[in-house]
Amino acid sequence: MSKAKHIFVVIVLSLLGITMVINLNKIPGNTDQINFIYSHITNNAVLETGSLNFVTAILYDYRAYDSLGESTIIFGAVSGIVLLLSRKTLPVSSHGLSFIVKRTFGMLTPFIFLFSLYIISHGHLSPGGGFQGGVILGAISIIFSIVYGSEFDFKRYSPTTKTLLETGGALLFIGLGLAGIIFGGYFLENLRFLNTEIGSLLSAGSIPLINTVIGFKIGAGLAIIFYSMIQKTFKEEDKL
Amino acid sequence: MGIRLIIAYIFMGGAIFFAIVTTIGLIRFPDVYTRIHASAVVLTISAVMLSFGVAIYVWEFYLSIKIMFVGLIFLITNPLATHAIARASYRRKIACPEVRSVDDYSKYLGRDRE
Amino acid sequence: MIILKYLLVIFLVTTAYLAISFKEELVSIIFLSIFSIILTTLYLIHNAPDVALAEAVIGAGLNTAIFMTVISQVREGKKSMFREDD
Repeated sequence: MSKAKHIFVVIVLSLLGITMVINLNKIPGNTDQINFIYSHITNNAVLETGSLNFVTAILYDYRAYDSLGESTIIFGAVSGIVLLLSRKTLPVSSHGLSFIVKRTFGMLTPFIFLFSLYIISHGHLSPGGGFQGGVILGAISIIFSIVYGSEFDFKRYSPTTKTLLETGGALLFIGLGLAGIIFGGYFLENLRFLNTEIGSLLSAGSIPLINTVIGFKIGAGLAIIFYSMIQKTFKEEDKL
Repeated sequence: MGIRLIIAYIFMGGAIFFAIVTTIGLIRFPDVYTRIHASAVVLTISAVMLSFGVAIYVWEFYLSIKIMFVGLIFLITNPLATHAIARASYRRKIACPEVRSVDDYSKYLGRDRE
Repeated sequence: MIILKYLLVIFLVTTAYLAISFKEELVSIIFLSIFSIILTTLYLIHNAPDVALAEAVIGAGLNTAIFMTVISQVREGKKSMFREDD
């Protein structure tokens, strides 16, 4: 790049940084500029939805239709990437890394899986939720492909399983919405059958169910994207 | 300010000192092997000491246990990443001299792949 | 805390500039990962742990892995094409 272009880039980035600081400082805090929705959510969200985490309450209860749209976008992205990349013949590092890395990740991978399940199932109690935990689930497939080679990933967690998880997650989400129509009257209405004490694991109606469904769907979708990029299309002896 | 906070601040100060040592080592050392030596040894000590310090500072049972698990993960994964980087840069012959007096690692390279 | 906030924003702009100013793609990817980690800290300071978790997982973890894989595939593909032509 030339000198003038460098200076232009620096000026644009600095302006972006300044606007980001100004906008972040203008976000209303807990005390000032209380409007109707803010006060309604802070006063009634725990009683109406049973979720302690207000972000999850908005994402998967008040605005669950938006989450359905987002997961549809990811579904379309996965379909497009698979359609574009699945016929290319790309070589792949199918041997994996060294012995030490393989054994250490053999110890660590169950704990990563447990952590992702924790984030998904505690989405209505603590920060996190279906999307974040699902991305960690997809990262397990990426670890399989990089550390053990893509053949191991193909054997342990086959593309059929991934496709089943992805489409099954989408269908279960829409099924939850239809169940909301039948039992409550609205699409994606909160089904209030998991109503134990607020703050325990099995509370908040259908929010944990939507979290679980979205988590497995997102994880399988990202694993499909990564797998279609490193697809194995050649014999093993050609590499060495 | 109790004795517990003083101990926590001592741990965090040690962590900051080791992190500064790591940065100086990353800047001052000549090639990739000595640099990852600095980042592996000293940064692991720094992260583990920082997690100890935060766990003592918080001093609540389940929260402290979780923070100690973060330190344990650092203790496992940081030398692992260093091993992977060193092995990859040896296999790609990055910053290796042409004539070596001692080269013991080459006969271990193909051992674990069959 | 306010000093830390502005320092992090300055680092953010610096890493964004460094990420686009290198010729080598791998260096750019590493700087993008550092950018995501600094952005995670900024979100956490501004009391948004949900967004911070998403940014840490996606920006620092997943994006780096996918970009590295794509770049290695592109380079290896060129090399293997030459080998097949020979």
